[in-house]
Amino acid sequence: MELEKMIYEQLVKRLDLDEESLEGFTYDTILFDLGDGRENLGLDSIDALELITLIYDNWNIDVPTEDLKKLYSVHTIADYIRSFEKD
Amino acid sequence: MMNIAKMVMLEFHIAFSGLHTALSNRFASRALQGGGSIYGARIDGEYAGYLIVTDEEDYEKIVYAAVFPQYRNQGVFTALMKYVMEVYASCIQLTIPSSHAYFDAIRKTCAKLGFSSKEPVHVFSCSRKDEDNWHSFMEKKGKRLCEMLEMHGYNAVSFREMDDSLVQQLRQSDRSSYANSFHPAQFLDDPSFQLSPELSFAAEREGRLAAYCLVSRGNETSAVFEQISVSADELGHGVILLPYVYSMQRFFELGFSCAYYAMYASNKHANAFRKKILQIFPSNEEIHQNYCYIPPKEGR
Repeated sequence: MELEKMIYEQLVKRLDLDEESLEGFTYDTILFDLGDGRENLGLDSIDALELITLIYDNWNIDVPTEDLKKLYSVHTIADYIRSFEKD
Repeated sequence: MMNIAKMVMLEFHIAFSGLHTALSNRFASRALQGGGSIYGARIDGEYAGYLIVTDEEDYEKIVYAAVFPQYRNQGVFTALMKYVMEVYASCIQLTIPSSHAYFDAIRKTCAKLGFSSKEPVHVFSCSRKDEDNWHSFMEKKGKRLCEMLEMHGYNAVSFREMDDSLVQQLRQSDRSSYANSFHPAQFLDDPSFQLSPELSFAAEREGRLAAYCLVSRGNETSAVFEQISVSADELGHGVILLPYVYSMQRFFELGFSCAYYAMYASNKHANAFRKKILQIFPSNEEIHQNYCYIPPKEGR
């Protein structure tokens, strides 16, 4: 869970997320609108760009834009990062 | 007694020389080059007011109207509106800024004539005095995010230097390719739009146009971001930031004083751009109310 915590803290810092928008937030909270009607945090494309930038800056992983759709919650981001660490 | 008739450019310039603005001249030129018209109203032989109509793809648009001060409150605008409603058999639209001195009067006239209100446009602006905010954003985030896009193979290119293959992609796109209300080709082809190739930038990757900012010169010191668009294939990647940053860098380098952006509140992508990027600049927002008249089917 340490990785999830780090990811969460980086998201809050880099995306300037405020406490109000994070009420009820869990590591399974969907960050972006996936177009499937599920409730989400409402992050947008600029936030997505910030996300791949913070992943690169903190974990040296270059996320291709095509992989963005895999990174929709703190848990899925952590799983993605772990898959590179195993490699 | 009032008479209304179409006008040619020279007559328009001479007759209404005291009423012209840079915007009215631009619209008049655009209207006459693109199939639109200028209608002038005379009262007892003296010019009283005019209305400019442009011919858009599916409708006519009233883009500018003005009445000499001595003829105001005498029904000149209403008469001009009724005239164009009779002339055109198609939908007529007009937009009024909420700050217009006669906003209330025009709004009531539109309602009386059978126009219905449509979704308003939100117009934002930024000025030269926001330059420090811009540089602060670039230092804190903008530069790094653009580096990430460039690392992923996106390149910014100005419309002045754009490869013909990219221009062709823009011309051959349909409106839905880039979620536009207007086709971008009209900005490239119609000189009355005064497209600025120095201020307009695109982002391309592997020869494919990903996003672009089409910017026109409002006048000598102002710029209008006519279209800020992303290819449907590139939505969600933040790629619009690259051409926008380059456009704004040039905006400040070239010494422009003001930039304008217009967006519909229902456009969720535009809203994201507004919340993330335009918040760099202090809020300066104006509502432009849209009205539309659809003629009845019988008797036309």
